[in-house]
Formats: sequence, C-alpha cells, structure tokens
Amino acid sequence: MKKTLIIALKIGLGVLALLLTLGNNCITSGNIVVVLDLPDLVGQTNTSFNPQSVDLTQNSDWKEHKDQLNSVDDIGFACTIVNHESSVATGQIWISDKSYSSPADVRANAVKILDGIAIPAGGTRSIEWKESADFLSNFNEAKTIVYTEQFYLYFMVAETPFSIDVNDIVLFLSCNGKP
Amino acid sequence: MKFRSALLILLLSVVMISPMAQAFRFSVGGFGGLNLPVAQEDTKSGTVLGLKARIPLTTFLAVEPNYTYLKNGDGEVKVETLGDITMTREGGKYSTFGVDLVIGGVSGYKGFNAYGILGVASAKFAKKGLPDLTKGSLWLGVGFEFGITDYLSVDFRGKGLIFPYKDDSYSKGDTGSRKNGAITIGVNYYFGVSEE
Repeated sequence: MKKTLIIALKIGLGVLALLLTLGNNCITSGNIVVVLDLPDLVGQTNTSFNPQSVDLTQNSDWKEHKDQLNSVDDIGFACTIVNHESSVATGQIWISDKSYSSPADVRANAVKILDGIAIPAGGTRSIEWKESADFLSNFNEAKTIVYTEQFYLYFMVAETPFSIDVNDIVLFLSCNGKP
Repeated sequence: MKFRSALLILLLSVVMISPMAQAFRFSVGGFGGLNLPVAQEDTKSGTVLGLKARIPLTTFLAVEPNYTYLKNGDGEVKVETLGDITMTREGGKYSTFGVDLVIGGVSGYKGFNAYGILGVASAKFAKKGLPDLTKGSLWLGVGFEFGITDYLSVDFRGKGLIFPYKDDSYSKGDTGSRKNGAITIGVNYYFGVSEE
C-alpha cells in the first residue's frame, strides 16, 4: 500500500512537471473566431481588377486577442459570386501580403487558398463558411500571410476572360490564444 | 515488426512484474458518451467512443491501453452583416492511441471502486480542409466502477484531453492547446481469477 502511494505520488509529480513544461499558456488557451465583413468587389480580367485589402489591426476581436495569440487554426469564407460570362467559371481566392494589379501577377506570386468553386454561366453561386472548407488548400502557406495582419485577397476565376461580382464577403479566422 | 516485438515484451514484462502475477486478471471494455470542447468557439459538443483494456500491476495501480475517438459538433457563428444568419463549420475530430495509468480501486471485483486517471496518448486532430495535426497529448480524469459480478462491471468516467500544439510559423506565439472533456459510461469484462 505504502509503496503504491509512493509510486502514485511520483507519477502525480511527473504529470505536474509535464503540465508546467507545457506552460501556463497551454493550459489557459482557447479558440476564438474572428469574423471580418469585407466590402463587395468587382473582378474583370483586365479592367477593374481590384484586390481586397484586409487590415486585421482594425478588427476589434483581433485587436483584443492579438497580443496573446498562439496560432491561426482555420481560415474560412462566405461570399456570393456572380458570373457575367456565358460559360461556367471556376472561382478562386488567392492571398498575398503584396498588392498585384493583374490576374497573371497574382497567379505567379500569390497563394491560392480556395479553388474549384463552380459558378454557372450567367449565374450566381453562394458559399458559406462550412462549404468553403471543401475548396480550401495551402492553409499553412496562407496562415503565414495572415500573421502579417495586413494582406490582400484576390477573387478570380481560373478561366479567361472573366467578369465577376463578389458580394457579401465574410472572412472567418479561428485563432488559438487567451479566450 | 520491431513495434510488435516491443509491445509483446512490454506486455510480458507487465505480467511478470505484477505481484499478482499468479492471480493475473485483465479486462477489455468499450465506452461512449458526451464530448465537451472547453473554451472553443469554433466547435460544439459532440460524441466520444472508445475501447480499452486494463492490466492491473498491483491492487492499486493498473495500466490501460486505449483508443478514443472524439467528434466535435459544428461550430456556429452569427453573422450580423448578413442579417444575423448563423453559419457553421465542421468542428473536427480526434483519434487517440495511448496508455492511462489508473490509481485507486482497480481490481474490478464485485462492488464499488473509485480511481484517478493519468494518461499519455498520440492524438490526431483532423478537420476538413486543414492538414492533420498529430501531437503527444495528456489525459486526466476520475472514474467510478461498479462491479456487477467479479467479471462484469460498468464504469462512469470524466476525463479531460489536453492537446497541445505550437505553430512554428508564428514566432510570437506560445504553445497553445485544445481541451476537451469526455463524460462516458463503459462496460468491462474481466478475464482471470475470481475473488471467490
């Protein structure tokens, strides 16, 4: 009995040491969702190709938690895309910490974060937060750009030429830190 | 092959070092219940299922190899600018393989037993669209076991999973974690010697 108690005590101390090694922050951290509403935009192949600038430092939730941020764990979107072309369009979202003025520059330099959103010819496609995960790629590269706090999103189409409107854009960031 | 050999040696060692070796008992069981994410806005409560075996080392100490599957419910966020509509996101799921150390009443004979649980596990967190995360994790908890007979028991457990991770691509960040509570009911069947 006494021997067992000593073993149990040693194990308990070991676990305590392990918890202390992980750090206070590990024990007290949680996940919060930062929601950013972004303005509508127009995207055309050569004219009116507008990057969507994002400044996280202006978001109250981000500002509240950024000093105790451990990681960005998830990136999601909601938006409605209107395709003005007479053929099916494949919607994409790209991200970069630099501003580019043409689709070719974006394809050459930015990180494609969403791809494969099929938009019918002359039609509209809405995607919600959950559905955006079906199209999500390159998360690890994208989150390093999010950490810069000021970056650009590019809403494009894989085919050229393209002409789209993007409305009701919402960016969701799941962040680990002090809740 | 090396892993299997090591596992066999480990199991044989456990049997040989047990003071109860001549009265060796072990159990296998299954459990299920409620999974409660702690301080996670991007998930809701879900389910937990698992399998475990118990190998007593002494009358007060046992090891329990186990597999646990935890599914988080979908996280929900209300988007004010879109007319307060609620949007959801899959909460993700964990699968953990590990060994718990059980301290207290571990004999599993007929009657009531209570015990504490300390465990380590390799846990994989998977969420649609994101790369899987596999990390060493901790389990802490308590359990109560009711031996219906010397061979059959029911247990109730409250366990907490601490899944720590550090994003090396963010230099300003510290080690964070996701934490989940699991409230389960389980059934165990014991093999070996009866108390009678």
